Amino acid sequence: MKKQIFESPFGAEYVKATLNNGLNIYVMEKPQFSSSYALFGTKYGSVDMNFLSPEGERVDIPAGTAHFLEHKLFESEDGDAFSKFAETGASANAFTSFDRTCYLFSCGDKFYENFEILLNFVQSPYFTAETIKKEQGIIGQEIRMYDDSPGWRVLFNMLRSMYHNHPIKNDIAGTVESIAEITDKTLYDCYNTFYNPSNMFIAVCGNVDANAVLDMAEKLIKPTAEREVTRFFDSERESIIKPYIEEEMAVMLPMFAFGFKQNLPEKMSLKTYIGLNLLLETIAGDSSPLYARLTNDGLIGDSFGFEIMSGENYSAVIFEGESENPEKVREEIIKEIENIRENGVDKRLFSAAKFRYYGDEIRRLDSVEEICMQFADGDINGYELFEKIACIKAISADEVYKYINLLNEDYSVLSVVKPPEGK
Amino acid sequence: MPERVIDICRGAEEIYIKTDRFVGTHISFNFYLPLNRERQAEFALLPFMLTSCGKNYPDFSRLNFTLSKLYGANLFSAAEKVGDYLLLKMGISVIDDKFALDNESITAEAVSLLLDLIFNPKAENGAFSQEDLAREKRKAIESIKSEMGEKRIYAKSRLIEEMFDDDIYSTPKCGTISQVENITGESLYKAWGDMLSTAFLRVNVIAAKEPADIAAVIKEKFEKIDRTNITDYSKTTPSRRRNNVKRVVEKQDIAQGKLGLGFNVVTTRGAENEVLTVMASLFGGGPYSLLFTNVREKMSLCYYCAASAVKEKGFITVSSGIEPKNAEKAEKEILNQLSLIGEGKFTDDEFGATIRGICDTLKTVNDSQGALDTWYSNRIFISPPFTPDEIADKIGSVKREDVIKLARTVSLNTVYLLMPKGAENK
Repeated sequence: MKKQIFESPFGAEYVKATLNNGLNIYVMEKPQFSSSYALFGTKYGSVDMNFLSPEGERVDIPAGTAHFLEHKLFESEDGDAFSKFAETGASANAFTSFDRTCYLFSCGDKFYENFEILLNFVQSPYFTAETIKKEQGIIGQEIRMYDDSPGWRVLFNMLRSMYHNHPIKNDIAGTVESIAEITDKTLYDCYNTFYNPSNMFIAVCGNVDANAVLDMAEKLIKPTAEREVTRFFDSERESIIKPYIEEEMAVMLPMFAFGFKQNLPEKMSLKTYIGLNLLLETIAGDSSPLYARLTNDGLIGDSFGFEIMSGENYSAVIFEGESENPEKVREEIIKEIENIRENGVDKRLFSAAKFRYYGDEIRRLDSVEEICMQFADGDINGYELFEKIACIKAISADEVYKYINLLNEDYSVLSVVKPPEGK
Repeated sequence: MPERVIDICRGAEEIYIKTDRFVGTHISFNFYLPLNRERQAEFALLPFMLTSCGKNYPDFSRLNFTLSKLYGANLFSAAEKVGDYLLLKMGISVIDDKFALDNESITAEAVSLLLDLIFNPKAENGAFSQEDLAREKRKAIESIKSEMGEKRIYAKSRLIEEMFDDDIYSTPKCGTISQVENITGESLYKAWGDMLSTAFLRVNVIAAKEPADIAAVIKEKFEKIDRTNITDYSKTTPSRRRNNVKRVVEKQDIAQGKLGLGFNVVTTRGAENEVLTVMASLFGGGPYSLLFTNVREKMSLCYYCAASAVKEKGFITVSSGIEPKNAEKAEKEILNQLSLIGEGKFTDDEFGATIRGICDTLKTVNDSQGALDTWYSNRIFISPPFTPDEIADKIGSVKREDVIKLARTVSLNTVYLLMPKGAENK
């Protein structure tokens, strides 16, 4: 096991260890806390649909498989993991996103017992035709729940209008039809490919002893040969499919997602991510002139915000919220982007945005969950936790300005979910 | 975690939780007023109006800019129901001075900003400005509409509205859209004055070091106000039983149905009723609960099915998402699980898991300033309030028999069903 300690100028520190099979483990001790949090994840999300199996064969899987596998992994031959956590009192959960699947628990007591349950169940796949059939019914209902969620619909309608081929356009849970194609073989193919320790990570934070955590992981993680995962993505065109899409739903106020597609040559770097975030804060943050204009004209409320969504072969900046007039919001955002393109970044706003971003990152250190999520994100995207704060401090307005080129109107899509006509 | 209750003056107290586990200071002002059918919208708008601008921060852009410069200090506001009372919360959370890049004193500035916003609103001639009012009214109406779009939240609030149709508790926490529309600059200004003169105030401070001056400033401000009629916050009336179960069916353009059940519980133990906490949790509180393991997992009748208790009011609600065709079956099975508790037909494992689950979660409350703040602002009925650790001890001593006995007093009050258009009712 290789060990490295990372220290920050403000006292916090953590240890990162790499096991011989390539698994990275991050531990931050917080002895003054009452509780602890642990997460065991794999770099396998809804977009990983085409890949080489360990036997070297190309495998193409239906949409929603990663999420389906997440549900099924809670079941082992000797009962389900939830009931084991019930014995300790921990709160366990899991989630699947575009680029990751994570299993986690939070507890006030009996950390090591819980950690053992976590490590064991994630390493013990057990799939049968019968249990898969039952799960298809349960997930089918979950999919229909997303169908009723306006926030979910507005986002995926946008992605579907933005991407020609990239699997990011698929719902994370898939469709009732796509998950019907899943068999036990599909799940084992995915498990054996992506749940190899070298493609995984563990993050722990709280009232724990780092050495004890590492010893336990070393003992319980099965020895496997390190293996690189080969994924395939169909080539994606630079263009979008259509600039506008709308759907009627039982909402009282229209909801929108206005996104810009980026065509980056490689995965977004930490510096680009931070720079772009700061740029967005000066464009549309709550002390920006655009935000004031939109608010005073009655076009946005507290739900307005922006985010960057990026991963393997995809990247988008999304402005989202609720508005009586989403098209006007779109027009104003474009106008402000053009204004900044022409006149540069407002230095005063930029400096305030940096203060805020720095403060937000410090504040995250108060949450064992946030820290674990950051460890996971850093492992997937190749950065260390404290690098983020250093990068925020160092970046200049001129550097941030160049990211304006990532916001190109020709590659933008406005998605709207609105109340039925005549209501 | 130790707490200290500081009596500031009549009708005002501070709860100081001294802890060094966080990177900053978290302060909230919690004003309590009785629920008020006519004036609910005005009072509920106050926290949002007061934290959007102030006499010394005349527009929200400048205020937000100041907050950014304070390292993204988080100014927060909320209006919530606590029993038969309306809680108006305004607070700020800020990182410690030691993290400042230029040795600024961020904490003191953040605290004085909060005090200034609450006590020095931007108003002239006894009225808030039309421009600010129009903005905050629009946002309030949009947030009411937005909640109506979230069917899970909507179904739960409709259940409570129907169940408490003859009780002040049915008052929507932010009032109705038409009430918001009718607020004027003058009426809101009057509401601000009434809040300061009649509300009970609890200030929560969660920090390593108690910021100076808070109590002194409040005392000084309150001395200039006539505070003879301060809210008595001990008068929540328990939920009333119904002779016949009330049934309400509503239809909308949605794919899935929502089933909500409201139950009365007969209890004399009041706001800190740990037996009720345990019973509701065993019934439908987590993955170990009877509703989750049976109605959701074994029988696949709901894709979510959860129970929660409102202790100070003595009632339980069950919220579930269902396939329309399963509505009747799901209702029967939920009721069946409840009667099984009354008959003592639950295992020691299930009971033990419930207790452990609650106690474990209580430990995590100490690790979040937001959770601690909510904990103390929701516990107005007992002073000094119990700490999460004290409640965990009490939960640990609840017996099976207590839960069985309490479950036998539970009676169904209202069934609310939200169904897709075109689906059969039953």
